[in-house]
Amino acid sequence: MKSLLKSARACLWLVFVACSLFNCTVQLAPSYNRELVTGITAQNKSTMEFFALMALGAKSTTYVDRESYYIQLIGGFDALVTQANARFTPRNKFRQKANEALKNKGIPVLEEGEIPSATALGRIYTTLIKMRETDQKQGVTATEVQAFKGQIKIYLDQALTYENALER
Amino acid sequence: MALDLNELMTDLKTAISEIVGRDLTTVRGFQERQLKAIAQQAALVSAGILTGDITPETREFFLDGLEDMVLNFLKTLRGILEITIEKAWNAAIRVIWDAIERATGITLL
Repeated sequence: MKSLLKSARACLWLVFVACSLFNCTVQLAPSYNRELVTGITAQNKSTMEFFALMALGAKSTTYVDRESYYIQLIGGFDALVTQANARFTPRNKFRQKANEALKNKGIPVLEEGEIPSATALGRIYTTLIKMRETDQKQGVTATEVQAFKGQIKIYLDQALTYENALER
Repeated sequence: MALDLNELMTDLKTAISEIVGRDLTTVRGFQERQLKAIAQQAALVSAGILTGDITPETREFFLDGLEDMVLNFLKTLRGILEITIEKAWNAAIRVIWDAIERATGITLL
């Protein structure tokens, strides 16, 4: 028992010495950005208001009436993607090792430097671009509007949940 | 003063369990919401294709979208787990620091 305590104490001293020389705390994910979260929340509201307006579907002949909404939303999400990516993303051996192990099993990985919320915001941007193209070309049915909305809501949940988790 | 190993072990367990417990609750809620929403989206897209309400213009886009959504859901889950590991590691280091400070009387950074 005495020798066990002795070696445990030696280990703690080793940790103490090592951590005195090197910074022992780690950062595995980007920093929290309150402005970004506020921006996503505001865009969420504007997007849902737009979908309320579109709920019954729309004909291409009236597309011009909606163009300004599309421009505002698409521009807003594009800016959020830039904001989400413009952060220091820690690179670490932990992620590299985990990626190697997952790749060997054929499991898709979070690439080095990839921020899942930025990816989600990028997908919202492309979803709105596709919706605008369709609306302009042939109009959108009520079911298509529902499907575009469903897709965007799923990505918004991913982006907001990840960004809120970064507040540590 | 000698370092109390039992106390250190208890403090480490408490610090890590609190963080992991709290984050797992968030993960569970997120997972349930996402899986339900993705299943509903799949049902909507498949019904829309059958009735023709999802037109050929958007069909492939929505089908590819389902795959992408699942992929990014998993990436988000992994991202959240990395944050949990980071928080647990840093909390454990803080507990060890405090214990060493108490035992040695040396103020660490």
